[in-house]
Amino acid sequence: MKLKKLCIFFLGALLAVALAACSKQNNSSQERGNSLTVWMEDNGKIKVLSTVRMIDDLVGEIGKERVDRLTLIHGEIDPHSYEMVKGDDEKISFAQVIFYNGLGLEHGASLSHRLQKHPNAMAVAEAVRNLYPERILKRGGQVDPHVWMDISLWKETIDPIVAALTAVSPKDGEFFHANGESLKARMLAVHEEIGQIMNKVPEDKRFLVTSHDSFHYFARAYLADSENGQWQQRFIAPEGLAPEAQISPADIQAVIDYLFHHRVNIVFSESNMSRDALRKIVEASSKKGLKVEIAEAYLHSDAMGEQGTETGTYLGMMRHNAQIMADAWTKKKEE
Amino acid sequence: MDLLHYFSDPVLRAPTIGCMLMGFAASLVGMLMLLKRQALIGEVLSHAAFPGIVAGALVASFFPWETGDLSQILVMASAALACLAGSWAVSFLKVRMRIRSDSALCFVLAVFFGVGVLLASQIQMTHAVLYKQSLLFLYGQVATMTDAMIPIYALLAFFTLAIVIILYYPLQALLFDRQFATINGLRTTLVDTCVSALLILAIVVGMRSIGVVLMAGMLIAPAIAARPWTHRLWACFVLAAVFGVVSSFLGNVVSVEGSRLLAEKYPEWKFSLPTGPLILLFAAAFALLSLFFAPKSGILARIIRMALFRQRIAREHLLKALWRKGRNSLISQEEAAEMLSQSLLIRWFCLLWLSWEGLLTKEAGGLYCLTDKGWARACRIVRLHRLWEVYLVDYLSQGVDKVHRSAEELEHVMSAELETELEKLLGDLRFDPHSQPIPSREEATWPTR
Amino acid sequence: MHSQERQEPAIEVSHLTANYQKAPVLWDINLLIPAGGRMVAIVGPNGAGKSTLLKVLLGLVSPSSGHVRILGRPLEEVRRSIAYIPQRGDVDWDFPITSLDVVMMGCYGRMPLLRWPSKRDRDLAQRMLQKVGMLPYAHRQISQLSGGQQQRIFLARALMQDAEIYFMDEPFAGIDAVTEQEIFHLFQELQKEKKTLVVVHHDLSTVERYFDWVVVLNTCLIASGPTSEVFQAETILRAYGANYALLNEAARLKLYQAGLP
Repeated sequence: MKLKKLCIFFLGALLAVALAACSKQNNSSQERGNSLTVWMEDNGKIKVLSTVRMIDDLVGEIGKERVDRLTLIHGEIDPHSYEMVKGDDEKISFAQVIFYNGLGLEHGASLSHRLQKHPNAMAVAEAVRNLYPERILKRGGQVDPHVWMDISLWKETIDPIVAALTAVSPKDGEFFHANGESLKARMLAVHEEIGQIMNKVPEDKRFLVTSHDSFHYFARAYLADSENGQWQQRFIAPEGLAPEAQISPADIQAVIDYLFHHRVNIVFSESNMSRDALRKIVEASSKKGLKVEIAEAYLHSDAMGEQGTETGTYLGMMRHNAQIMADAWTKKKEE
Repeated sequence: MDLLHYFSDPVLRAPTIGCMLMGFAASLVGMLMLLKRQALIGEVLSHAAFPGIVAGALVASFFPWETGDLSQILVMASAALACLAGSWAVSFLKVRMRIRSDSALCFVLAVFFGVGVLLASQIQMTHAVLYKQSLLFLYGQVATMTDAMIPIYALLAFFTLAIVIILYYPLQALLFDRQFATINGLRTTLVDTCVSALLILAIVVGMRSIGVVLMAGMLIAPAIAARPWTHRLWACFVLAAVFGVVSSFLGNVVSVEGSRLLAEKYPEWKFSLPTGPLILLFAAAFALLSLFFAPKSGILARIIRMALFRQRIAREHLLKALWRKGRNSLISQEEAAEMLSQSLLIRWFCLLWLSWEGLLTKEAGGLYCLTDKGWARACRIVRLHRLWEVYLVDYLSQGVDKVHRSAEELEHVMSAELETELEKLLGDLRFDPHSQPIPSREEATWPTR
Repeated sequence: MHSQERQEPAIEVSHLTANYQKAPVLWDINLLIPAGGRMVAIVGPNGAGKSTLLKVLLGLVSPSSGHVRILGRPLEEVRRSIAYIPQRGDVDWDFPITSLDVVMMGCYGRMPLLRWPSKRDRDLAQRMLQKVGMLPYAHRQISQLSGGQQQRIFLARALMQDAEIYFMDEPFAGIDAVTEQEIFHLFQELQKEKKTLVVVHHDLSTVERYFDWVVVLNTCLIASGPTSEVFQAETILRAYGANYALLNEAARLKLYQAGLP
């Protein structure tokens, strides 16, 4: 049948293109392969494995050239649902220190299991919770793990990291400590800077809507009302803490009610998340009479930007996020 | 709770209307599959679509535009191709390789889905956002359906209905008696192709809403729900469509109202009832309820029929026993228990029913006696039993010692026509093979006013 | 185009060889059945290929070689003129369909795509049901009928088709004597209308009584002709005897060598 042959041809072409697309990415994985070989070299440096780049960045600033770093969950991969793949187990076994976020961020069963049982693995966010349990947020009965969104809180991870590194290499203890302190200072500076950027935005504009529940700490730290410190009303998102769940139309409705209530005109997408929910929200709102648009630039929440760009560093990412928000909110005001 | 606003509110109307249309189309196609006795093919093709979804997402990533409607179309097209490939693989295995149907289906499902998972785990690393997109098609996301999808779903539903109506009679012939259809030149290949095309279309268009994994359930559950209620083909289709549409509507309503209620009751918790699974749960509930409660073929109906039948047998045995004892005999409850050798409850129920029918009266001292009507009925039963014995012995040459048992079983299922036939055949006999007297016609008749 | 006028043979088969599933079943059959109201019996031992011959004539099985002409034309052109009653229908007995619906199927062959059965068709179907004595059961679902009643329904459906040639596979098997007589009367009526009936028949003792043409088969064609000429003791012995066992075995081996499953 001619039709049959035609369809087989198309299917074959499709598969060929798909496989080509897979191999196209080998360039960047080539780089990663190189850094992996470097990481595994026997060069006397401390071998540190971090799960997410936000932690890895801090480790880099603290350990500098005395450590070899590797990130497990790189690029735009979602850390919430990440499961271990081939090669991860070798990396975990090889590392001398492993840092992960904890508090349920890495809740892929294979990974969380492996990390919890590992003697050299430390959950940095959980360390913060041990120090300041009252500052950890809960959403819907679960702990919100996006602690890095509040710089003042994230800097509390520096001491545990320093301690862990010192435990492996006591002779470098002073070195790590000094770096840690300077990092703390820099982080506080950026923290202040972001606070000021946000304060310049009028309060009636400071309402944040993104794809999933990752910005609560951010809202509390930088978007709170100046008089009474209320921040719960400042942020909403259709999807919950873990963005792989299914949502109900009631969630969409809740966000739209929020938009109407606070006269919000702009919503933000996140770099590694689907925009379907936001697009639905924009469409439904416009049909109901409120003009909403999705900001052109996207925010970074669970995934940082490319290495070498501004958003490739933790502080750069935070500043970049704040700037995008401020620009979008103030631009609207001018119109 | 204003139900109408589910069709007007911009947030709710696309999910509601889209899902109802999807339910309509899926249930019609599913009914076809059920009648074709190929219910599993829907499951297999739904899963076979997965590698197509992933491949389509990958191909879409080559193009510079944003992941918008055009890339969705690409994904759907490649999913359709994958479904086709799966369908051909199954028939190739069955026809050319002579592999049994269930083995072929399992094989294709496993291999195709495995390839899909392989591709997906590859792109999890390289195209994380696309990976998320393909998961969207795997599990569906009803809440984010937009108004633009309503015409597409309407087209799907219309197309499905049109094909079913146009091909109704050839379909009926083909599904019932394939040989007949072939011999009579009823274009069996065309009909088969149309049905396969409808299935693939339903899966590919529907997967955006309820997802590929649950689609198989949506194909089959409304059909199962509809089947026990009717013996007419057109009624099967109509009922299946009704169940499909109603499940979709209820799924949407409960998903929204339920989430709201839970949010009010437990504001600290973020409960969210997703629509897709709820639709399927309603469809499955309808199926279970139908299987249980449908009249005639439902489980409940069968249980009741059996129980009533056993009850009737018990009552008739009691009447016979009383007949043997004599016209004006009296029995007590205990004697009845002995005769019946049934449980307390059944015996009590028997006596109650017989009294209510006017066949027994309660005399002094808690004893029971046959009324005239009861006597006539008892005579009739005995008469039938003994007439049967005559028939079995004289006409079917059964042994005299064996006939009593057979007659015992047959006497209770006698219909009026059979009775008349028997009497016509045997005439007015006086004695049965055991030389027992047969009650006369007059004795066995209760005069009606 | 009446076969009576043109004298086209009802069925013409030349050099027909067929395999069915795992065995070679028909070997070089050459057969000519004249038109004009014959009642033809196809007889032979078990596995002789009688049912297969029927299936080849109906186009359900493709022969390995040879060809078939029905009323002088290939099967595709004369589908409206043939009807088939299978042995014990391979149908879905639980299908939602009533007796009347089954009989009405007889008119589907004549119906173009976008049409539905008319009142006339419905009346005709009811008349056919009446003819086979099943009118009271018109609205029963078919699984609620006994085996003999189901056969009658399929017979009524075939009658509805108003064909020229009726093919039947052992219609008298498992039927009580009374129904057998009734069915035979229907056959005689058809014969009076100059229809040809081709019947695979199992009971040698009734062949002479019912049929005026016999085809004796055992993988090869043993004999074909009017009953009085062909139906002799010697022919029967040849068919049912052991001589053809060797040919059967040889043909089977040939198939096996050729790699067919």
